[in-house]
Amino acid sequence: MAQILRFYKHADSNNFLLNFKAPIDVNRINDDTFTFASKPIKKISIKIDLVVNTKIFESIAPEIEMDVENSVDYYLSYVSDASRQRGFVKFKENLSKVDLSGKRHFECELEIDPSMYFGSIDLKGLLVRNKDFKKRKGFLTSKYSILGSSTTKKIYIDPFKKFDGSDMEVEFGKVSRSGALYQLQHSNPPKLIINKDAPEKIKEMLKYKGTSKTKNIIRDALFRPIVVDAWEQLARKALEKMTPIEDSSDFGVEVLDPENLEFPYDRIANIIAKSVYGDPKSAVDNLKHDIGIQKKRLELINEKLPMVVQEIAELTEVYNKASKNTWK
Amino acid sequence: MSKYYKKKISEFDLEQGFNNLDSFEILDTGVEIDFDEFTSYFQSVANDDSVTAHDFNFSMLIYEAISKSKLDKKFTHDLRFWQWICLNKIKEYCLWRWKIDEEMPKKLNRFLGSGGVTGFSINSASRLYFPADGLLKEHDGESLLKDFWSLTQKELSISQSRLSINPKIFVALVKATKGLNTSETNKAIVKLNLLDSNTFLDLMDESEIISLIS
Repeated sequence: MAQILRFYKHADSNNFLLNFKAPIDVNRINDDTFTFASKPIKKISIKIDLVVNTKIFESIAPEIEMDVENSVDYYLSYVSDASRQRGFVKFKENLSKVDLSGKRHFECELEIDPSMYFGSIDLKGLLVRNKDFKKRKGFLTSKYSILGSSTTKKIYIDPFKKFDGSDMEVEFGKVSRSGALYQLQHSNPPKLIINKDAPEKIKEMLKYKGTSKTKNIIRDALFRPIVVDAWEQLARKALEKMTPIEDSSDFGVEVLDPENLEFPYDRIANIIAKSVYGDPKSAVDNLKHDIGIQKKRLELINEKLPMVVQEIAELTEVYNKASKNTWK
Repeated sequence: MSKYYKKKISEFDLEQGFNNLDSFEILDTGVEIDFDEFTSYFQSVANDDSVTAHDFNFSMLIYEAISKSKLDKKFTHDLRFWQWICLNKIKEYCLWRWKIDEEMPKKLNRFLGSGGVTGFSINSASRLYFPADGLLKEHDGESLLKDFWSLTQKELSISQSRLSINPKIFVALVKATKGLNTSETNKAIVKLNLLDSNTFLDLMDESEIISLIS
């Protein structure tokens, strides 16, 4: 779902800080995403800590409930779709860490056998009720209710590979229709084939690596719509790969997460999500939501995508440069 | 000896057809898996157009073959192993089950799977194995497995739910939806998926999960 609408009190993720002491060969991609530099060979143990702001207990339980802090446990939830694994580890409080600002510190260790894991693992800290309390409107009072959760941290066991478009190979070769100028080959990485039988002047222009500023500007400007089209083709392929086998709008059949696509379509889907929906935290969820509904999927493919790929490929910037320098 | 590919095969690798399979490097799993019974059964039904009617039997047969082999469980989590099975041991079955023309192969993900839980339910071999692995340990396992395979939509909805990776939740889903039609099954799965945002289902035992959705 794009966004979870909650009709009950739930602690904000800012009050649950999940951190892990990464082994030395783990690199940070962003605040929530990490990757091993190479797939580990031996079993590894990752120490994870959760810092909880106890102020949350003033809002997540009914006022009449006494001692709510003893009615909850803290868990690390881990899910790796690509390895078909999910589970949890219970946190233990580290009482030696005294915090005057009302925070409690918890720790646990996650053992990972790399031979059992592929792709990435999602980690999340959860605050879970361990006993029932009397029902109260607006509060989760049943045993197993999740009263709060941290943001999800992702760690790649198989090293994360980037794709920004510049990785795309361009070469001259045979294309499947003699009259076409180019063809995108969905290989790994994708390859753009320029028709080797295209008119000589076109080939000369596209191959040009000289120092003439004007020629360089014209070459770049004429090539850019091809880049835009290549992005659109790649994006369409990525969205197609995310679409469930059975075309269904019910929530029982899940749209594939970009992380579950093969490289580079995983990265392409992520780029499209962020470009279309903005907020990086909810972009992928929004993309998955829209793909799951036929009307929204068609709107995305036919209306939004052709515009978004122009932005990704910086069409306006390239045309601006060309027009400023040549249209006098 | 059964094998697995050193590197996961992509759709692009197979785009030119199945002729270059020998070019992919393979490694041994260390055990032999006997697919004779699976193959014999396939040969006995290969002329039958009602392909879905045999899912239950194939599910039983692949599970038995792999269980008897004492294969290290880690390989069942590895799509490279399932890819090798589909492309080398049960290729004819895959072509028949999904009506794929070998000369113009489509639906290559039926041989390869993809990432994620959905990927295991797309690969033709792992999609048959996991339901049997989860259900046949139950007291009425065969009956549950038969019911699971009785409706295509039911199989899809349950297998493609991220929650079904947890064996307890998977068994609970099948038990709670036993005998239900497609629409009732979907309602139960939607309900559980919605509950997942505020209930820690992984911590619950099977009967507690069943009572949530029944």
